[in-house]
Amino acid sequence: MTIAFYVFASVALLGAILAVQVTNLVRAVFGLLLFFGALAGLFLLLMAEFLAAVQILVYVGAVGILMLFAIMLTQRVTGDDRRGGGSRGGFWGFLLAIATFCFVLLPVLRDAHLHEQSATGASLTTKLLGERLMDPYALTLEVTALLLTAALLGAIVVAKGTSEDGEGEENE
Amino acid sequence: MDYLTLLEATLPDLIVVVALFAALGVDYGLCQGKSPHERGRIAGEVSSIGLLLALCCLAFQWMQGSVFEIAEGQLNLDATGLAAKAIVYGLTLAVIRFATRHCPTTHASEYHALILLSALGMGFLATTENLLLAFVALELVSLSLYALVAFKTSSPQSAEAGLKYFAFGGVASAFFVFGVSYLYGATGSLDIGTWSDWSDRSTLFALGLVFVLVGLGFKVAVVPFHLWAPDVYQSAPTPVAAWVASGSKVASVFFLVKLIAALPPGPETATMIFAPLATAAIFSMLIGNLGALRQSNLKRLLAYASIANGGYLLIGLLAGSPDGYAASIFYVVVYALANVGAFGVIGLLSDRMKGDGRLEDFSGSWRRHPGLSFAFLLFLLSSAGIPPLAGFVGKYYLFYSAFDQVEMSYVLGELLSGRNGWLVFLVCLALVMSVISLYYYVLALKAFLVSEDESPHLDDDEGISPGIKLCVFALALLVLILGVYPGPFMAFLQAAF
Repeated sequence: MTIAFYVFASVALLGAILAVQVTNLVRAVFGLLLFFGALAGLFLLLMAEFLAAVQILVYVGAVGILMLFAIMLTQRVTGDDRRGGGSRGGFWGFLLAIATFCFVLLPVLRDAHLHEQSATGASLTTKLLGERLMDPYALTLEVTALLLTAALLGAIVVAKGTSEDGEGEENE
Repeated sequence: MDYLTLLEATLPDLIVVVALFAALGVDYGLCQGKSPHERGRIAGEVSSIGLLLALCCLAFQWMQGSVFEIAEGQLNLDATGLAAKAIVYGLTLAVIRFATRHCPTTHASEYHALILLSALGMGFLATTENLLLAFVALELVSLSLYALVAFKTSSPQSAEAGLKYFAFGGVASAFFVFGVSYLYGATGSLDIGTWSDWSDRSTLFALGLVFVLVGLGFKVAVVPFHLWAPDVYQSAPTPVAAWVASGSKVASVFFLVKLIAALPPGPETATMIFAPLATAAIFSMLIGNLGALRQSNLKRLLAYASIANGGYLLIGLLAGSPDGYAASIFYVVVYALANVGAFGVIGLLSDRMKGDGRLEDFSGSWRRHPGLSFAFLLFLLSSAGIPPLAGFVGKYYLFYSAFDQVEMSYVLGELLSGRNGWLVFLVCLALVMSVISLYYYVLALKAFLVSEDESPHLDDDEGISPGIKLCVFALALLVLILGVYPGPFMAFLQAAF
């Protein structure tokens, strides 16, 4: 169990670092897919089989393909974009992150008394998940639908170029 | 859960959802041949009708004395909740009216639809007591606002502002949801209403709370999470800047107050967040006010002023009394009214002329637009805290609530130690800073009211519909009324805690 956790966790970290660090956009997407896959493994270790399956089907499958399509179809982005690569102050940021982890997060996690059981009491089955989503959390689910609408509209507005000031025709 | 209750409770929101799809549908289906300006006007009318209907529905629910509670604190719509939602939708209505005058691109209906979507998110954020729904609502607000800020895709400044807002907002959201995971781990519940009967105070809980506060601090733009504000206010379309400065702040403060008020009783919880919040308040007041002194751009100046106002707001929370919470909410509502008005006037005078809002662009406004200039005077003087306007009363309530919590002592050492000392220092600093703020507000007013020569960048009256004028008038009237007669509204807020 423990070994499996460390393997999945380090693969996830590797994928996440790849996704952020690689300058080629297509390779970054593959790094992200690696991260999603490792996350599915972690879900499995937590006994959340359904979430693991969803993670692979939706994220590794659909979302990954969607991102590749988006890169293909977006104007002006060819996937091999090398602008704005390096960032200043990366070293200090890294140092700050390490310090936060060692001095803030780690001590707190060491003396935290977490509930031994999962909060739902039973193991997380698909039926239970569906009931939770449709019964008490129906409202949150609905607001999530609005969130997706906002994301869709925002993507259209930002990605589709328009002419200045709304007076002329759109320049496709 | 009873779905009929859910339908009844979210009826005003559903009306707004229908309005936003109607605005999109009418635009896509019927208006393709028309000019962008005309399409923007139609989408604005549809959105306004939807918002008015929603407000009527809220008023009806309020008069019936309806109280809705959706499972696990997801919605808590008592009289205060309904009022919070009504305030958010009222502000949206004003912003939509200002937005109809000039659409920055050809995406006319998306512009209004995104404003409505963010308004929905703010409505949920202001009325929820559930961390999960709060996160989803916060994301709804943020995503819509990112797109709105970057709306002028042709302008590099707008894109830069959008990217900055997005980068900061993304990190803040990550902090928020990470904090929520800790809080859930520590308490086993997402409903902040259950915190009060929970006695185990762990450092895990404190850390989670601090992370959640970071996420909200970004929305309220308190130091050190303020760096996005000047660029966003300056480069976003002016009605959007008004919206970022008003609606998102009002909703976040409503949730913030609920969060602080729900903390488990006892001195430990009060002390564990007191020092971070007090430090943030002090630096917000300092950086906001001193930063505003050096600005020559009116929108940027108002951005720094809003950072400073974020600092004032925290004083009410730090007071930790029901009066303090009510004062914070009173102040943010008053501040939002004045800011929507001020940005609205700026937009009316400069948006179509592609002015970027430099102070000298507004010189001589009082000759060409006496009414708008007078309203602008009221909005800025209210923000500066000049009696008898609402901003003065708001500041008075805030500072008084903090001073009320100071345990009086004639020994100077006792008076200035620990929590007492913080509160005394905060109130004194806020008073000094209010005097300093008068300087930059008057500087802005000087351009509007005193300069003799008329700026060539000033827009004319054409296209300012009676609806827009009515809107400015209503906002100015509210700022005046809440200043002269604040009692009932304040009593209503105090009754909520």
